[in-house]
Amino acid sequence: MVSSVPTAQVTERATIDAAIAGDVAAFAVIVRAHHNDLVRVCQVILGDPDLAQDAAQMAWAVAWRRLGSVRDLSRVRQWLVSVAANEARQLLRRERRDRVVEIDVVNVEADGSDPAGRAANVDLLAAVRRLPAQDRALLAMRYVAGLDATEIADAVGISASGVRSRLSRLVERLRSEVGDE
Amino acid sequence: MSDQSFEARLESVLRAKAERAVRPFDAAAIARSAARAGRSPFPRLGPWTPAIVFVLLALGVAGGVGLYAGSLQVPPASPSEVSTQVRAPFRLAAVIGADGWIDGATTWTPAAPGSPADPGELVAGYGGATAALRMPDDSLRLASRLESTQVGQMRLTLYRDGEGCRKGDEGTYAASLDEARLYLRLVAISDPCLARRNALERDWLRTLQYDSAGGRGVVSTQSLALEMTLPAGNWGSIDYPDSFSVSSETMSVTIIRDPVGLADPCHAVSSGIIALRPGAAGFEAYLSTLKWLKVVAEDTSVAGLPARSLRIRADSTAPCPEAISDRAIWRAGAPQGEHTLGGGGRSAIDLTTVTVGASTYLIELDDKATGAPAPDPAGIVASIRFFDATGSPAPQP
Repeated sequence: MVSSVPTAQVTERATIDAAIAGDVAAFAVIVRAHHNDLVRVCQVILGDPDLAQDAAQMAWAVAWRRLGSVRDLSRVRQWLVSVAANEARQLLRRERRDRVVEIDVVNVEADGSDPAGRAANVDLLAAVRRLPAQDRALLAMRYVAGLDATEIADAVGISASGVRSRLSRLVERLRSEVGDE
Repeated sequence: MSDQSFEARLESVLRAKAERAVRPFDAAAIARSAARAGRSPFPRLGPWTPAIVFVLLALGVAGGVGLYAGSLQVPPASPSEVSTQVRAPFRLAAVIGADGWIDGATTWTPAAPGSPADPGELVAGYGGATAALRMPDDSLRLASRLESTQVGQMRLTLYRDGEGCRKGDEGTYAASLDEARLYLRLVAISDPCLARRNALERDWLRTLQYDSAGGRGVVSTQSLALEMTLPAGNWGSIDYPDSFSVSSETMSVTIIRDPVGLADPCHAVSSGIIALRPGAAGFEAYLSTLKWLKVVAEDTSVAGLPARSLRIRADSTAPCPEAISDRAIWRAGAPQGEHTLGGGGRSAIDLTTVTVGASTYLIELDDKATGAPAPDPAGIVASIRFFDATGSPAPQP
């Protein structure tokens, strides 16, 4: 298995400052720390590993251009995640599709759980895929990137209470769709 | 199922799905690719922006292209025989570090480039314990999980089908280093993946490019080739056709071949460039035209070549608008902004210029003012050998 940089890794302020000043080697340090997180978030939104890689790459081009505009450098990770989520959604628009229909049965079957559990997980994944891209982005930021409601709120520009209620409604909807009520 | 249990299940399913897209990646290549797209000098676009861009482009084409064209006529470097240090004998060694790097370096280049078929660079430790071959277009081939099985042996397990090989193909290689730890010799013990065996089974030369733990290694870009020793540390580099920059937590080293001057020190991005006369004297002659600089220079030598040690201070009354604190004095000839150096933000810049044939090499060491013990700058400069000073052929095993 490919090991990855821990998601909780905090990129040093000096590295970010250097990257803002145009130091590409410093920017590579930031890429190394966060790229896998960005790819994971994009994958939940796009459902396609190749597209997820493309979206993450596009996010880095945006990050290079706009890193200097980040107001709070201690929140670079959540900013990068939100940039990646946005790029993934843009990519979906360009690909003229909003819902990913591929059912990833093989992946779910490989998780080693019992047959009933596997079937339930297939249903859950299918329900996630029927959600609009912006809802998948919320789920990805919360459950894959591990951002809390306040961090997501900062990233997407809505209130923390708004994020909490949307997430709550999403979870309710998913439970309803997979018959877990 | 409780709310918490359902959320835990949702998280587990999403994370498993997300993990499918995670692959080995090359952070340096991604960073370079992002940087190539550039930064706009106009962060907030307005309706007038296209007109300004058009005018600047027109001026740049009229005033700068000729100079660019002239400055880019740099004769290619001739990487010569690397180091006179004794290479034989090779000894089996534990080469895979906990970080997945090979003997403290992530990037190794074929010791005999082009022979038989150029396999690309051997890169290790990018995004985990992974080894792959990086091609000139930054694509990675034959990415494999990299493990140390015993001292002097490494095992590679292919991640994906390709090049006639199957996912999971395991290859075992004997790994030995020469006395100076500059060369790595890989010999296949077994490998069902013929493409990987053909690529890996050879002598590799240690580089300081991308990430390294310091030590001795080579640096080779399109028109710049040298060998140097960096103190132990976490170094990351970036290279361009005619310049190379490597940084650690405490200092950075930038080397530019044939730097150019800038016509407008206040606006580096839009400034035209000034081609400089060859040699260290030409560089100093250019500096002398900038009346807001104070330059103290003295003779020295680097690798037996004539060199000048310069300390440059910028006068705070330099003619720039108040909002501009950094003034660009010089940069590399290839059109990139990363090596533009500011003169107003720091108290002094210490440089060494070396005349190598018809070329000028500019070496800048910046200690980053972190308060940490600074490595020996003089030792770094003294360790540099310029390959094109000898005119001898490419490195041979």
